[in-house]
Amino acid sequence: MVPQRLADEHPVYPLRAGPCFVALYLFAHVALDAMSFVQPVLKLGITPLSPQTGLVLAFLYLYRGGFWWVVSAFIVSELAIRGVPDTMWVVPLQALGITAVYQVATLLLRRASPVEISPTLNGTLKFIAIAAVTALGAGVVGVGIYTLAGLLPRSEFAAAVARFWVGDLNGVLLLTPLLLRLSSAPLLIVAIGRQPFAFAGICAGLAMAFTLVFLVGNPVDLRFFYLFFVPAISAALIWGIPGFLLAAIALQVGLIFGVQRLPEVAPLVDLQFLMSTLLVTGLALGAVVTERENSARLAVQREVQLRDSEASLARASRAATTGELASTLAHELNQPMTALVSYLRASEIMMADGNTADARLGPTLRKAANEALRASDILRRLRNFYAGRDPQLEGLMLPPLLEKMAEAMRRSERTGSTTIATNLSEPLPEVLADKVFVEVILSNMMLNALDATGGKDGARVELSARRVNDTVEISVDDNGVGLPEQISKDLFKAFVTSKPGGMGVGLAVSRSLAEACGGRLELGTSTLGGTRFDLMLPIAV
Amino acid sequence: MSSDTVYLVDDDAAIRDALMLLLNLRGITAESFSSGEAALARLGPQSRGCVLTDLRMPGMSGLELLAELRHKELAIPVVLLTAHGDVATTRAALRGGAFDFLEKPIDEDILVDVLMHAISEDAKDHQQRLETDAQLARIGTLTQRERQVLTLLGRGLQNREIAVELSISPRTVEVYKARMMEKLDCASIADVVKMSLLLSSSGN
Repeated sequence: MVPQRLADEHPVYPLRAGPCFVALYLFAHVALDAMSFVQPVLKLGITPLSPQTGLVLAFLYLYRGGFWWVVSAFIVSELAIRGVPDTMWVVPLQALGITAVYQVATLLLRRASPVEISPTLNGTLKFIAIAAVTALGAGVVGVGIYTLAGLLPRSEFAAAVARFWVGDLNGVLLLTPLLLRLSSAPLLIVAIGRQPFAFAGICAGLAMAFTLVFLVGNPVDLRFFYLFFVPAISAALIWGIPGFLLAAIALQVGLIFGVQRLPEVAPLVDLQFLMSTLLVTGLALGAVVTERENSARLAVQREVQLRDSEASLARASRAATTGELASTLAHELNQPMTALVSYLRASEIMMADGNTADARLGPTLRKAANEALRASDILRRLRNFYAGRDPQLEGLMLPPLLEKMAEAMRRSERTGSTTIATNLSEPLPEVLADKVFVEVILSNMMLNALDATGGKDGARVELSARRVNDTVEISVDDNGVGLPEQISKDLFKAFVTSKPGGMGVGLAVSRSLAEACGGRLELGTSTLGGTRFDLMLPIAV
Repeated sequence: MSSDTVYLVDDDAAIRDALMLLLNLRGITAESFSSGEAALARLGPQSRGCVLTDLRMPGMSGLELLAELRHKELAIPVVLLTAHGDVATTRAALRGGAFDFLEKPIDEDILVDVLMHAISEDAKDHQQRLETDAQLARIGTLTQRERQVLTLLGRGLQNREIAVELSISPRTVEVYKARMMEKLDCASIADVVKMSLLLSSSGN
């Protein structure tokens, strides 16, 4: 997905507070009201869509002195579109009441998200809540005045408020976020231009949904409305809130068109309620998408800075040990290579006379293959560490992982007669760690334990795990020879080993891997009389 | 006395297994140990052949094994196995009296070559030691006077000078000298000088 940068720039409104700004507002207010004058209640002009309210909220938010302009706009458009009612005083009173409600909403909005409409999920949800309450307030005030004036029977009050409410709510949800972020429109256009196929797909999706809902399906039946969700949600996923709102506006225009031009369509108010659910879903989703992209970008920036400083440190310390490491590595790798070459030469000698019947031939070749695997395993282990791969943290269910590793170890030839037990009776929460790292650490620890028990009678290695506060502690315990005092001290330093065939980096590597996952690796107190290591990993929240 | 054997010391089980198989296939008798300590416990003056040991091992290293063997006056040749490019250790090993040095992974022909060479060297050494021992034993049968005559002859003194030194007559020196040469089976004065060198190097 092309990272879109619509949300992180603070909009600078180009026309703020000039006479052009006000004039533009007045014109747009009346025009929007006129376009959306569809299926009003009787002659009262309560339509289930009031896009002008979105404009009103944005205007009041941007222009602190806009109150009386809004009142005027309401009056003008009321008289121009709906005509002069029988009770004249209703018009200015209603305009005043509704504008007051929106003025309060503006104050709430300023407090909730000081920097325009916040691109975070939290900010968006607050915005939706404020919009819902505001629309309800406007509905109660507007319809209440009609009712008090005797223009609307009391029995129809609730239904009219609902109609009013959904109209205002959709207007605000559709237009306010877009208008407040109008300055980022060029960025949206660029983002859309980068994915013309997605744009075409969404347009096609909307067109197809229209066809299915209004022409093919029974238009009174709203079951197919969900088809609109597909393109609208796709737009939210790809371009965040602005992209979604464009799709939603297209949808809204289409709904009005469908309701006006086609016979026997479901009442617009029903469609508008469905539209509300779509708007709320899309806005929340768009916010999540934008937020995630922003935080991902921030995290990347932070990580790059962090890695730069860490990398120079790591380079310095790595360079210091490189000389020693080269010879250590050569030794570690040469062990299996030596065995491998010798097995192969032995096989060659066995077959020297074209004789393939030597019973030792098969086992010898198999051993040679094992040594090749051992060499590649050493390389893989070292590469995992020295390549400095970043840990990929994920939620891990430990019991299956530990059981799997214990089982693999039981099957290994190196295990011999040693008992490998697991004790995972407790329920364990998921831990947050890199799976490969954990596997490397645990197999290092288990191999250490195997070497320490050295196949003596009753040799036992025990793998257990328990929760300790916010971590899970995984222990590998054995009843082997234990560690000499002198070694325990420097245990985790590289090249310290008491172990046959060890290069003395296993534990140092394991500890770094544990720390890379935000965990720890420590020498514990054995309950079996040998050596115990504890790996602490943070639980996933 | 045991026959010629390669005493293989390596902490890595796979390497022991593979090399044992290879050596056996090449008709070389071999015995393996997982540590220098274990090999040291088994090796004695009667052990013939050579030691093939890994350099880097936990516990006793290959170099330490070599030093321990020499400390116990066991002259068996020691061939060291090492990883590539360990110059400092190589120098230390050769100074410590290692017979040869092989890099892992090992070329089998070179390995066998070096081992056979070491074994024959050990046999030669052993033969030499047997002869020396026999000669020292013969020197042991000399009387006080005969030994003195041998030592002084070794310093290049003439019969007359020896007579003065020992306060005996030249004639008597002649008698001791003849008896001494007979006991030590010396045909010439050159043999006598060799014997006297052996005597002085054996520390008596």
